[in-house]
Amino acid sequence: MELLLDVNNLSITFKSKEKTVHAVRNVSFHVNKGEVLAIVGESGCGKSVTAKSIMRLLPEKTGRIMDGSIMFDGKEITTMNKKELVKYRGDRIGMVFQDPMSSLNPTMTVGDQIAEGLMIHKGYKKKKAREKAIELIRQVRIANPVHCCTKYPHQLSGGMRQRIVIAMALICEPDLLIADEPTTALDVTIQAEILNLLKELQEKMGMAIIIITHDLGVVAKFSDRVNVMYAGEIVERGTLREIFYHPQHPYTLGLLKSIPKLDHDFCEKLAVIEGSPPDLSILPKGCAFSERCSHAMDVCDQYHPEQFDQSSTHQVSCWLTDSRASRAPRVYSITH
Amino acid sequence: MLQFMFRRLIGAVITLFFIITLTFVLMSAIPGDPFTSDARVPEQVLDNLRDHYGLNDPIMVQYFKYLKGALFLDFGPSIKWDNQTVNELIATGFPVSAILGIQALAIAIFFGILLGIIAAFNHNKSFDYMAMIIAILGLSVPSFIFATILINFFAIKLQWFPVATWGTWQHSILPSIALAVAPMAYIARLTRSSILEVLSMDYIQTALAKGVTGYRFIIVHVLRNALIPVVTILGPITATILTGSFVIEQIFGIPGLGKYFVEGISDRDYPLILGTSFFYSAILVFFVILVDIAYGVIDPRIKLIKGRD
Repeated sequence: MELLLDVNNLSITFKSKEKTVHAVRNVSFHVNKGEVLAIVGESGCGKSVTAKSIMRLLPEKTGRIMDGSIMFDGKEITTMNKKELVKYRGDRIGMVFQDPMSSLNPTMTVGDQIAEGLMIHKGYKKKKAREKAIELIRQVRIANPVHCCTKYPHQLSGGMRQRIVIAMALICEPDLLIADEPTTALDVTIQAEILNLLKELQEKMGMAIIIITHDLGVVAKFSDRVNVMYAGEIVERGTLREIFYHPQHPYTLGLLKSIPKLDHDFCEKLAVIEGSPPDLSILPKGCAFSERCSHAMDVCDQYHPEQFDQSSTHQVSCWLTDSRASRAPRVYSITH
Repeated sequence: MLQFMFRRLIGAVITLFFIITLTFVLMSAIPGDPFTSDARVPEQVLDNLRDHYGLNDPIMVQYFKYLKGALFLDFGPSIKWDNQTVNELIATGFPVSAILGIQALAIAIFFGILLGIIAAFNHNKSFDYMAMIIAILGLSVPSFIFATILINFFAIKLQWFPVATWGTWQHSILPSIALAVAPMAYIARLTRSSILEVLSMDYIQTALAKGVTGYRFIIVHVLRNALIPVVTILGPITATILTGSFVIEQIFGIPGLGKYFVEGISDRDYPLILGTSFFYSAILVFFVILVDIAYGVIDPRIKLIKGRD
């Protein structure tokens, strides 16, 4: 496996006049060439911020990478100047945003928007770029691509727009695609179609994908590895099987339990994780999840959990997995 | 498009009808007539004069005469300006006003947008504050004060430009600037706020994520979207410039249409008032339609052809 993206000890803060929010704290992860990594977590856990920081798309005035490194294909992104950065954006790394309704330029035809990447990065002339754009529109399965090419975003449906956004991100055949909640704004049937499409294109083009989502169904569908984020930290990481069948962190377990099941008794309430995430402007002393954790021990409030290896691919930041906590019930045993 | 034009044309005719009717009513309500003066003129002479210009006719007859004039675009002879018809006066005054207005409009649009762009891309930095202070000054200082300052500084002290009157191209510069200042300030403020709004949009993030930069980013992705509200106010801006020219033409002693219009009112030169106000209204209505068309061109979401797409 060849390493493509290596993020180490990344910390990002947002400053306003009143307070400093530590949105991402000490996050490390990597993506190999051609694999799919999912970053899962609830709203505000820092997953989108992490994704945007890879593109250096954080708001310049408020958001700042305080510490850590982002190595893409052996090059450091955090210290790049604008000129170098622009060569990566769109060419080597593509990005799909959450809301296809607002992420397309309303005054440009979709064909031009897709072709633009080729004209910037590959120096294509307009006509040739447009031909390739039409080819790609066909590949994202839009009927009558030649006609579609000349349409404006408002003339297309939500699902079609997201296909256009995907085509736009893929036109330069990037090595890495960052999909920031690509299906959240779409209705369920379209969600499945878009995911299948992404999967298919990934297999065809062989790029790596980072998929950011709060939907574990999306994760199960096509990721190789999963990072679970909570309050700006990665609390558990592992392969798809490890996370779904042997979750070690109580938060991961809570997420899995809260998925409604088909054979669910409708009189019963859905499982929820009580409480809400901590205010990230005040750093918690111990584990950020301890307040909401039903397995919390005294140590959890006092000391930040270390990272414990479960296997070479599976790491958890939870005191329950410490050998000294042997008397505490193992989380995964609770699942069964 | 044709259907749209036709609809707008009918709307324009109705608008103009209301404007000329209102003008006529207001004009008739002003006490006095063109022959009211300090000089003692025998009553019989005055009566003959009124008869000659049809001012002794019943008011409705005068009104329909005037409507007929508007319909055939013939407003008859001026009362004040001997041997000249209103149409001739408009024909002499309008080219002068048009040059002044077009120059002012060009200055206002060009520098307004430029100032707005620079301010927006330096948001909350010193240049932004500076540009906005200039804009607020430009909006709040009346044009006649500004005109006086310009004359005093550039014409009298520096002697770069002639003080007043009309003739060469140099004559037109100071009045054009004086006329352009307020609309320019307005355009600058609107451009700035509109750009700032566009910059916060998701599609700007998309553009950045594609690696779009520089000229292409500013023109294609930001300005194209940010200028839509600016285009809409060009109609009202044209009105500001038209009415602004009344004052400016007086100050600079320019023989334009605005001068005839203002003097027409103080002289109670009824045909001239009606003719010039009809003419001004027609220009304004024309510009509003023009702006609507431009709006459809710049914003693909607005379709003029069949109402909705």
